[in-house]
Amino acid sequence: MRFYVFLLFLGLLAACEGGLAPPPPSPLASLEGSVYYTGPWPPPDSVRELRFVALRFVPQNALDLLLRFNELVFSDTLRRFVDYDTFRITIDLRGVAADTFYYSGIAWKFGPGLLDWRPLVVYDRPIILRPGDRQLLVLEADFRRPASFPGTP
Amino acid sequence: MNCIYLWLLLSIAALPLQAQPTSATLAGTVRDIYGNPLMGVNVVLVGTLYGAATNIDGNYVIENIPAGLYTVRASAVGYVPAEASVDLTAGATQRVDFALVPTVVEVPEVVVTAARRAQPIEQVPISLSVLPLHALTERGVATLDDALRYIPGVQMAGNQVNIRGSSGFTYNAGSRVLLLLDGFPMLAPDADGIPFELLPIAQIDRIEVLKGPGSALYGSGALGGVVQVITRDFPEQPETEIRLFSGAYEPVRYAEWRARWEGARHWRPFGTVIVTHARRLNDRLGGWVHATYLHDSGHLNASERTMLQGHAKLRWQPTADVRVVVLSGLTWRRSDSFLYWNGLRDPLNPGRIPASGSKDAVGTNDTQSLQWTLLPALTHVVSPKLFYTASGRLYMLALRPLDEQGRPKPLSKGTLGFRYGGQLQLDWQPTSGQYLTIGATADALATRSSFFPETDGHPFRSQPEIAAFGQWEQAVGLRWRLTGGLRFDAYQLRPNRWITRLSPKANGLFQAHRNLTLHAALGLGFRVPSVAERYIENQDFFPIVSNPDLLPETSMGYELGLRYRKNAGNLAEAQLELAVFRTDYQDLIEPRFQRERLAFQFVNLTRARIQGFETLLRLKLLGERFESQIGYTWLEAKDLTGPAPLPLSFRSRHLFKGGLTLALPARLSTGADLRLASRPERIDSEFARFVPDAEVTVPVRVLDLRLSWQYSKLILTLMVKNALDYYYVERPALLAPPRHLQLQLQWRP
Repeated sequence: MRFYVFLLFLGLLAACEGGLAPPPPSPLASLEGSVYYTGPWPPPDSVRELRFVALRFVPQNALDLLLRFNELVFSDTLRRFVDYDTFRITIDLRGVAADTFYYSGIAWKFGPGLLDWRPLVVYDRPIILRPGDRQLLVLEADFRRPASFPGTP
Repeated sequence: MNCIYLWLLLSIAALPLQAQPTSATLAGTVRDIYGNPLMGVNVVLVGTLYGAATNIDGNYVIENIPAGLYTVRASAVGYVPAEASVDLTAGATQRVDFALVPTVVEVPEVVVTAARRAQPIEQVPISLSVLPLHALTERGVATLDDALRYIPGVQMAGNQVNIRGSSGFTYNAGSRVLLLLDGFPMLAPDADGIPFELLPIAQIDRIEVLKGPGSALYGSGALGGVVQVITRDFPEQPETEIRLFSGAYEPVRYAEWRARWEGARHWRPFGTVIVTHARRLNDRLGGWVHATYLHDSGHLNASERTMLQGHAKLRWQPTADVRVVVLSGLTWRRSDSFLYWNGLRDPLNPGRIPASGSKDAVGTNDTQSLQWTLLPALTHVVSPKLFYTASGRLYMLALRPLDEQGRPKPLSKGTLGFRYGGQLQLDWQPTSGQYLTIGATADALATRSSFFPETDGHPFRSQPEIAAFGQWEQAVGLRWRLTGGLRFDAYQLRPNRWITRLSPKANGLFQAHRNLTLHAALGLGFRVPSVAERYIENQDFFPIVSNPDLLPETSMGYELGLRYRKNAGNLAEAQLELAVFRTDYQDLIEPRFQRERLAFQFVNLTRARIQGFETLLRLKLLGERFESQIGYTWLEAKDLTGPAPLPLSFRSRHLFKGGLTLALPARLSTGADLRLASRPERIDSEFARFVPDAEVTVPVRVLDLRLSWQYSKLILTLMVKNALDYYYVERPALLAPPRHLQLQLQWRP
């Protein structure tokens, strides 16, 4: 009998921890995900840089990126000539209830010029981030069928 | 040389003696105390492997028994076992008749799963667990998956059964465990998952779980084990029972989770009403009906379900040697399926997978379904030693998704499926030490589903299958019983492509001592991929693509085990079981992420191995006043596909189940059940690319408590399930129920 009481006690102790719990509060939110490349890669001099970019507005052209630079966040440079890569952006939402990104995706720098950027693949539905949130995105990119700016015909 | 002459002389002198009969025969009839003959009662000579089951007239015959003094024991579920001493004389037939006393306490004496026939558990040469009626009732079990959680070595991954690590988490598309209802395979026409809710829970007599490959007898679906549900026969006197379950999930304790779902701030109710009536209608006909209404508001947002169900079972005996049994069930269900959470910061709401494409995948699927099951069987006893059973099965499913307003969409947007088949089985027992089982089955399905896109002009997916099986049991001497079996299966995967498999098995049982049996088993197993695993295509809920070229998975399983039972009268009874097992798999089917398709797909792994041991101790003290059970399973599940072995995904290395029931004064009884499982050593990390925090797991530590009060025909039970309010997942990204209270009222007017 004592053995069972002991066993029950062990069980109680074992369960006292409570199991899963929300992560500690944090003012930071993250936007992270994976990009999978299908199809052939263009020559290296036309894929100079790739970054994940999230914008608080819908850009009409490459100039918008420059003019409203403070309304976008972007990742480190992504690897080129790989099958897939991951990205992560951490956003500080201290003092902010939520932040909304209306246009996100992989930005492709295809030439040497300052405005030689275009979207490669786009997620064009709003992403709402609150402090502590972790939002995943899955993107499929194909250089043969790149996305275009909404303002571009 | 003199010795040789002497030996020859003795041999010649002994010849006439050898011609004398040396064996005896034991025969008799088993009835209940009202004089009704009882069929299927096991009559055994205690401490030997001699035994027989009574026929339809309650008669039994055990032949070729060496002369001597024996204890003969008759036992059947629902009756107090009876014993008698008998002195058998060579060449004579001795009669021993029994009158069994019915009991309300069921004893797990008879099992049918392992060898497709009734036999005492001591004679089953493979590991088997039995959950009897009283254990189901005490624990307030309303569905089969609830019941299986109490069985050692069994883990639930959402609504999938995992016996000794045989299954991981397969996105509900395939099952390596076969569910049998009174011997009929219960397979859904769409996904081959186990339909846990389609059972008449108040008419279940017991649940048996066969651990280890069962393909040699049951074919493809039984690669990882068999769950056999046995329903009750009708009683001699009319019986009505009403069960009411009512309860509520406790509000979650974390403010952050409550803030994201209003429902988590309140108690979330659930309830079930079961009404069942059983009776004999005349001297040849009887049966029962069983109706269930279930409503569960769910512990997660979008996990509400409502079910209305009716079952009926009829047994008709037109002549003394013919029996017809028909079991049928109809279920209407409306449910929200919570597929995956929105991360650990928001686990009570379904998630969403933002992906570049026309729309995001969402983590909930709302459906309305209608399912119908028809299971007829005819048994003809040709002679006391020979009978055959012909049976049929039909399952129908119509499933319609619900739109945003909760209205059912057209059936063309959902699933319409039929699974139908039949079986013929012949049982022949030429002598008491020999038993032959042979049979053949044929099954087919036709399923049209929006999940299985049409690619070849045929809206209905089908996968016909035929099989033939045979098994021979042979007692060798007093202590050995050997069994050999072989099953041939043929599956049509495509119009011009059949896959065939031979599944042999061999078992040995050795009665080392009156209380101790040793058993060994080895067998080949296989599983043909389900229609869902081959054809499922979906982006709405989860990115998954088809793989019509999947190959069957095969296995080679071995097991060594022992059973020890010590009975000190009413004072104490102890039972110890120990098993060591190993199963090697080839072409194991598991979901894997395919980068080039940007989706998951079922693929054949090259090789995997699952090995371990399991021990189980049951104790009963002071009659039924104290009962306990402790089971521990140690597993090593390895994926041997790559150059270095990796753990197989979603398997726990340590699994513990403990249960305790204690009778108290004043008609009270109390009990507790504890489930512990270690954290899975590996999680499919690709899943976490899509679903936030899907890689997060914790060990399982769940304690259930109960207190019952019985007054006359009324039993009132208060249960606290997950009493420590421990938050955990049984499968990735799905929070298991928090603490919930349940009150059960069971009344037999």
